[in-house]
Formats: sequence, C-alpha cells, structure tokens
Amino acid sequence: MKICLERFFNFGAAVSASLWLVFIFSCTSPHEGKVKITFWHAMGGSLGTTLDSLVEEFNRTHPDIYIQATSVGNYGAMSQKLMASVMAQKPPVISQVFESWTDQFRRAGVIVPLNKYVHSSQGFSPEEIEDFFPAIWDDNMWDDTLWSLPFNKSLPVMFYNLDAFDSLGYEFPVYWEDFLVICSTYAYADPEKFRYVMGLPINTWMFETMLIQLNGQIIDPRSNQVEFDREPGINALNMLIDLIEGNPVAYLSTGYEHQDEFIAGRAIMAWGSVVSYSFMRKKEPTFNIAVAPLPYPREGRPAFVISGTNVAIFSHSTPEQQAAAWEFIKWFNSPQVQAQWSVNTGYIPTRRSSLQDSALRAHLELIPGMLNIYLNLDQAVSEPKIGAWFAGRIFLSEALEYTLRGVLTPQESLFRAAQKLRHEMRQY
Amino acid sequence: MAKIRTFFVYLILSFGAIAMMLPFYWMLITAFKAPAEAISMPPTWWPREFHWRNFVEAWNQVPWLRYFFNTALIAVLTLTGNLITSILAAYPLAIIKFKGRDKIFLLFLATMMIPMPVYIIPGYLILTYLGWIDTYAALIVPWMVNVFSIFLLRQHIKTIPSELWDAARIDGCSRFRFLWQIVVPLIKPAIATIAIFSIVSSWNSFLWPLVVTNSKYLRPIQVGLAYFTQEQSTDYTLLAAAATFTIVPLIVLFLFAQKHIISSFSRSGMKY
Amino acid sequence: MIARLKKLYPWLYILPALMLLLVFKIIPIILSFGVSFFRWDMAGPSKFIFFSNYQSVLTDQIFWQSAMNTLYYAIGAVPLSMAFSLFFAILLNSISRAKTLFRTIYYLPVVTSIVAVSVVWKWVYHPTGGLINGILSLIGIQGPNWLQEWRGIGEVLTGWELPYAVQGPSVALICLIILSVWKSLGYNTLIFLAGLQGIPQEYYEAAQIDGAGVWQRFRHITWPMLSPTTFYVFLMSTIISFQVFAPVWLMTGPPAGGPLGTTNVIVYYLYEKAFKFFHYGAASATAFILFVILLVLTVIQRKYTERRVFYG
Repeated sequence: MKICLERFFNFGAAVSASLWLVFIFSCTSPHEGKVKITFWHAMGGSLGTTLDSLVEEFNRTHPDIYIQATSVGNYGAMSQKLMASVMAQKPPVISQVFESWTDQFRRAGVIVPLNKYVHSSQGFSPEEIEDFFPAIWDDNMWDDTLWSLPFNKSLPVMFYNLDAFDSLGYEFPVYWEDFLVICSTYAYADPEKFRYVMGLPINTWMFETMLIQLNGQIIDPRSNQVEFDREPGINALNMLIDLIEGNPVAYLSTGYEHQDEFIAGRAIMAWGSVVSYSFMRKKEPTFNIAVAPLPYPREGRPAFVISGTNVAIFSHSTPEQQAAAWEFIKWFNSPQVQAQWSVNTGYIPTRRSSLQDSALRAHLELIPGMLNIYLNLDQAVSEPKIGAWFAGRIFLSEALEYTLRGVLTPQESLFRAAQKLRHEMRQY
Repeated sequence: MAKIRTFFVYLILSFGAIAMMLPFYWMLITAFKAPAEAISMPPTWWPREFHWRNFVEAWNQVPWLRYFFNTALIAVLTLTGNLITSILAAYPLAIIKFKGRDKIFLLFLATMMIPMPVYIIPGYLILTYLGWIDTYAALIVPWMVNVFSIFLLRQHIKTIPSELWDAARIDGCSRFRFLWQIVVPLIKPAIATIAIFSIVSSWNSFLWPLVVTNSKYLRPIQVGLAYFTQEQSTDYTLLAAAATFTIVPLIVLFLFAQKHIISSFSRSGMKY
Repeated sequence: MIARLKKLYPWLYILPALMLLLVFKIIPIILSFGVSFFRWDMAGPSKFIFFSNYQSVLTDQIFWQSAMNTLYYAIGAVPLSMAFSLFFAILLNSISRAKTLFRTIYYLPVVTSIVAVSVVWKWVYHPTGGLINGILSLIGIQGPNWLQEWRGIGEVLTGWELPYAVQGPSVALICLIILSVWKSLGYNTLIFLAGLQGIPQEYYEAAQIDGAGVWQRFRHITWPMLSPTTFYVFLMSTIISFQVFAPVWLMTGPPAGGPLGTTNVIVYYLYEKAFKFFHYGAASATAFILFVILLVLTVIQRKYTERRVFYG
C-alpha cells in the first residue's frame, strides 16, 4: 500500500511542477499598443516558412500593426475551426477561404464587404485592378461586391521527363491529338521501362480543365445552371477513357502516387499542380523535369482552371482591425510581394506586373517550360464560386470514378452528378 | 512433451511478432534511405547507404522539444485525472448496490456512442464559453474522464468476492479505505492497462489540438508529424524518421512500465 | 437523515466523472441533437426543418451503402480481433521467458499514430512494390491492386458475377479489416492479459491435480473466469468498430471511401456531410441514427450476454 501512496505523491509533485512550467511559459504578452490581426492559414512545410517570413517583413515595415499568423494544419481542420469559431462569435480577423466558403459566409453576413476599402484612397486604382489576372480577380467578386482578395493560386500542368523527350527528339505537344500519338510511341518504344506513359489519378481538376478547353462550362455563371453534363463534358470524359482503355497509355492511379512513379523514372509524365514542382525536386529525380500546359484538342482552345483560396475579413473584428487587415492583404497582393511569394512557393502571382520582377524571371528561366506557363496566365478560368461547389466537386469526382472504372457511361455518371449538384444548389 | 509444446508456443508467438514488426522494420529502413531510394521499385530491403541526415533534417524542421514537452505534459495530467475519475466511478458502479446504478452506467456507455467528429463543434462552443480556447486546459480537462477505463475497472472490481468487504467492514474499515487499500492493489493489472491506454491516446491526439488551439506553442507531436504529410506530397523519408523518434519514447516507457507492473503484481500476490 | 446521506454516498464517487462527462460529452450531445432539426451550414443555423435531415439521410442511397459497409466491417473485425488476441494472450501468459519483449512487440501497432500506420500499410498493399504482392510474386502469383479492388469478396473467390447485395464486402474493405485487426490486436491482448492475471493460480493447480487437460482447463476455468473481460472486449470492440473512421479517411480514395464507395462507413459519411458538404444538421442526424443503432445493440448485448458473465 505504501508503494501506491508514494506513487500518487510522486504524481502530485510532477503535476504541480509541470503546471508551474506552463504558467511561466504563458506569462508573455508582447505587441502591446498595436492593432493585432489574427490570421488563420493552412500553409505547412516550406510554404508555411515562406508565409511566416513575409508576415515578419510586413510586421517590421508596419510598426503599428501586428499580424499573428497561425497555421491550422490543413484545410480540413481549417473548415472545422472556422465553422466552430463563427458559431462561437469568435472567428479570427482574417482567414484563408475557398470561394465556396466565402459564398456561405457572405450570405450569413459574417464577413465584411471590401468595396469601401477597394475604392478608397487606401484601395486599388482602376489600373491596378486591371493589373490582376481577370480570373483571379473575378473569383472574389459577387455581382459588384468584392468579398475577399486572392491568396494562393495554382493551376494544373503536365510535368515530363525532359531527357526522355530529348533522346527521341520530341517537343512536348500543344494539341491533344499529337499528345496521344507521342504517348503511344513511348508506350511501345520501350515497354520494358515504360509499360505506361503515366498514371491517371481520379481528379476533377484535370477534367474541369479539359471541359473548358472544349468550350464547355462547369456552371454557367450568368444563369447559374449546371452545364458539365452536356456534350463538352461527355467528350472530355471520353478523352480520359481513351487514355486507359483500348491500347492504354495510362493506368488508373490514386492520390499523388503517379507523381512518385514519375520521379522514380517509371513514367514519362505526370499531371499535377504547378506547385508540385518544388516537392518533386526534393525527392531528387535523376533526370531533368520540364513543365508544359495541358495539351488541348484542335477544335478546342488553350485554357486551364485555376484553383486555390482567397483571404476574407470577418465582421466580428473592430473597424481598426478591419482597416489594418485590408492593409495587409493589399500589401500581400502587391507585385513585389507576389513575385517573392511565387519564387519561394511556386504559387502563381496574382498580377501581371509581377512578371516584370527580375528575381521571378530568373527563377522561372531555371525551370524548362515554366516561363511559358506564366506568360499565358490570361487563359485562366476560375472554379464556380457557389456555396454548393464543395459538394459539387465530390459529386463530380464520384462520376469520374464510376466511369473510369467502367461501371457507368460518361452520360450516365455526369448526369447523375449534375442532378445531385442541382439538388444541392436548391438549398442555397 | 512439455518441451515440444513450449517450442511451438514460442514459434507461433515469433511468427506473430514478425507480422507485427514488419511494418516497423519498413519504417525504420525508410528512415535511413535516400529520398530517391524510398520510392524505387522493387523496394530495397536494406538501405543502400545509411542517410543519418534524414533524422537531422526531420528534427530541425519542427520545434520538437516544445512539442515533446507539450505532449508529455498533456499525457501526464490527463493520466492523473483519468485514474482518479475512473477508480472512483468504477467502484460504486461495480459493487455498491444503489438506485439508478444501471441507468447511470448505461448513460456513461451512451456517451461513447456518438462519434468524435460530432463533438468538435459543440465542444469548441463549450470551451469558448469557459474561456479555455488556446489553453492547455482545453487539451487536458475534456479527456480526464474515459468511459472505457471506468468500464474496464468495473469489470475487474466485480470479480472481487463480496466476502472481502464483509470481513473488512467487521474490522471497522470504511468504504474509502477499502477502495484504496484492498481494491486498488487487487486490480493493479487493469489500472496499469488503462494508464497505458491513456498515455497512448494523449500521445496520438491530432485533430482536437489543431481545432482548439491556435498558438503553435501549444501543439503536440502529432502536429509535428503531419508537417511531413502535406496535401501536395508526402516526404516519406523524413516522415519515417520523425515517426521513429516519436514512437521510441513510448516503447521505452512501455518496456519500463511492464517490468514495474509485473514486479508490483507478483508482490501483491493476488491471493484472496 | 443518516440513511439518506448513505444513499448519496455512491454518488460522491461518481461525481467527478459525471461532471466531466456532463460538460464535455452530454451537453455537446444534447446540443448536436438540437442541431439535427435545423438546416445548418458553415455560417450557422438558417432554418428549423423538423425531421427533414433524418429523412434526407435515411433516403440517401450512399448512407445505406455506408451502413452496410460498417456492418461488414464490424462483423469481420470484432470476432477476428477477439479470437486472435485471446489466443495470443493465453500463449503470452503461459511462457516465462521473453514475455516483456513479446508484449512490447505486440503492442507496437497500438502506440503508433494512425498517420504513420496508414503510410506504412499503403505500402504493404501497394500493387507493384508492396509487401504482400512482393511475397506473392516469389511464388509466381500476380496479386491484385488491393486497395483499389472494388469487387466483392464473393465474386472474387467464386468468379461468378453476383448481384451487389450478396457480393459481400469489397476486397478493399477486407484490407481495412485486416489492418484494424493488426492495429487493435495488442490493445485487446493487453486487456485479456490483465484479465488472465486476475485468475487465481490455485484453480489451475487444483485442476492439474485432477488431471484436466489444456482444453478442459480453458473451458472450465479460463473461459468462465475471463467472461467479465470478454464481455468488456466484445461490447467495446463493437462500439469502436461501428465508429471506424481514420483508416477510411487516410488510406482510401481519393475520393475517400472508394473504390466506388465500397469502403465508405457511417462515420466517414457523417464527416463528409459535416465538413465537406457543410450540412452540419444532416451530419448530426446521422450521428443520432448511429446512436440509436448502437444503443439497441448495447442493450441487447447486456441483456443476453452479461447474464452469462461470471463475476467471482
């Protein structure tokens, strides 16, 4: 029995000692007399490090404002924290938000419209607004109201093994038809090494881009009608089926596995986000990686769907905080900061004039094909910005899965997904 | 005959142990591989070259010391609370007959039937109301009670013969003294088991700390691990290295605790 | 007066646990029960809609698919995990040397975080470079793409094309069941060991003198004396299995719950409803449907199983 009591006393000692430590640690409150802005983001790893250093720079150059950037880990935890904290009436001052979230928040009146800032002397001149890439700017506009400013934007591209292309003397094709020809050349040239040319993940982003390239629409922004189950959508899905059926050049893959296959030299190309480049380089591939836009069909047009988040200001904050928050997100969208952000993270800059930045130019020239991508950012299209789109993306991804696994035809699966989305949209 | 049987027992246990360990073997060798080797096909069963650098890199990218401190603090405080609430609650639920006992026990069980994701938002609201968001209390107090522990202890206390209490009562022993002096030593193996479970679950908590804290100074080690699995890609070698050094302290603790449990167990003798 | 105080006495012991449960579990449960009657999106409640959430969940085909998968999962994982862990616990209890080492090894999967476990097991099931197919290829078998195989086990084993309802769980779901048995084995083994250690050694000694064999000793001493523990493990494993979530979330898809929704489970369905569709009301309604299922199961288990439990 003695032993038992002793153990409990030891526990008690440990507990109180630890509690004291905690107390000592939590007794610091710096940054008094400044406007404090809490900022929730989901940037981890090297992306987070870059963001932290930018925030630090802002805090240094703006002595009356203190931005407290908090990494919430990932977008899943982010949505939960935002839902909970909005309900508790204590959201952060600013946060990363997807368009779909912005739509729900603006309807409920929990975020601040930004028109009074953007058109003031503290805002943007008409020329500056023109300087933003249209898709990136419009992503934040609902009718004539600006509800957020862009934060991190990326686009889908093709990565390819430059050495393999060089050895056969190929250029990466612009058109889909040529792309198919080249793919089958590789598939049969060296079947020992490359049984498949690439892994095809079930991913809505690639499908959306192909749909736009075929002059289709995901959702018509004017009439608010779901459009992806029409002919361009069916054709785009058939193009994907072509890759894995018949004489397959691609195999069905999941997640980011196809990128690992590519880096390990077992596939010649990999589809991915432009941001993936730096992650791929870290795994030390033994060949040169080059990047190219997704090839488009001859009867279509070059285009890509841009994806990513924006930053919104919550209405639970004081007017001073809101003004200071605007100051920060406006600063973040200045051409120099955007160029710096782009160099270090791989996210695309939001403004055309960032492309004049010499550091960004020098960085882009190091990656074969990257400058070409950046020079064509005007072709970008944004994702639907309706509250139901988060659900819509899941429906679409189900449709892709059912078709690519050969259970449903493209017509059936896309129609089913579109019907579900229509039902969902009625709730908003 | 007995020797052959022992041999087979060890043989089966060893096969089981290999099955249990293979994934860890894989994790350990991945931690030593170069990034390119980690994704090579067919995979290599022994690193071509030992990359100690992975450990250094994984260690330097995240403030591990702080995270380890937080996790240890959370684990110890949660454990203390857990033991106290469980032992106290399990005792009457197991052997005192009183009105409403079965109902209260069913209520306890019922709280386990709502899945975790549902608690997140109301839990957050309550913590906001208490002013505990972004404090250690938010990471500790809600977990200081565990129905699994209460239930397990109840099952063990129930097996104690009632004659023991009758005898103690005649000697003038109070209920409380009986609990600490007779019951607790008798159910030591079960107490040790719930202690280990409590520590392990604190050690592995991830989503809750992310949701209820904002300050990076309050984050536990699992958040550090998640640093290596970004949405874009997983850094297998660094993740394996980090996972290795987050697991090792638990294994050491477990080995140490077992020795202690077994010796204290044989001392108490289990004779009644 | 004193008699009345005496009645309160047991409640004093229960009070700390009850208070904590009240604040951090019971009140949240009541709150989310309320939520289940509202349309409730990312920004909060918008409309009281009576039972519409329940109706929409119960008429959702995907909910029924996930409920079926959850049932398969529980029916597979609970008995397998219990049988293996009891077996290993008895073996571990019977040896004298290297006991600590073995116990630690068996406990390894429990102490490892699910994030690390899922990365490792994804590799185990990997179609070309994975552990299982690597071993199969040694004996000349080309293994399937385990986690992407959506055909039911019935169809795979017999080769017949069966209707969906009788195909049984998909191969991918069975892979998750195996993973969960592996992960929970050490946990249950430890509980069984604690139970075995509570059985007085004298019983076995007496039985030995009477000349009872291994099976007889198990049947007449271990099994009845262990029944409180077995009952505990059975009830707890059932409750935990019905709430399986993390492996589905971390290892399947994208889209998670795939291939073709054959690994979707109730709690993942609920999670998706809450934090991807932002229908928090519908998610709460799903939680209460699950709650009712589990409550009924628990009451039945207590009524019919605990009666047979032998408490000292």
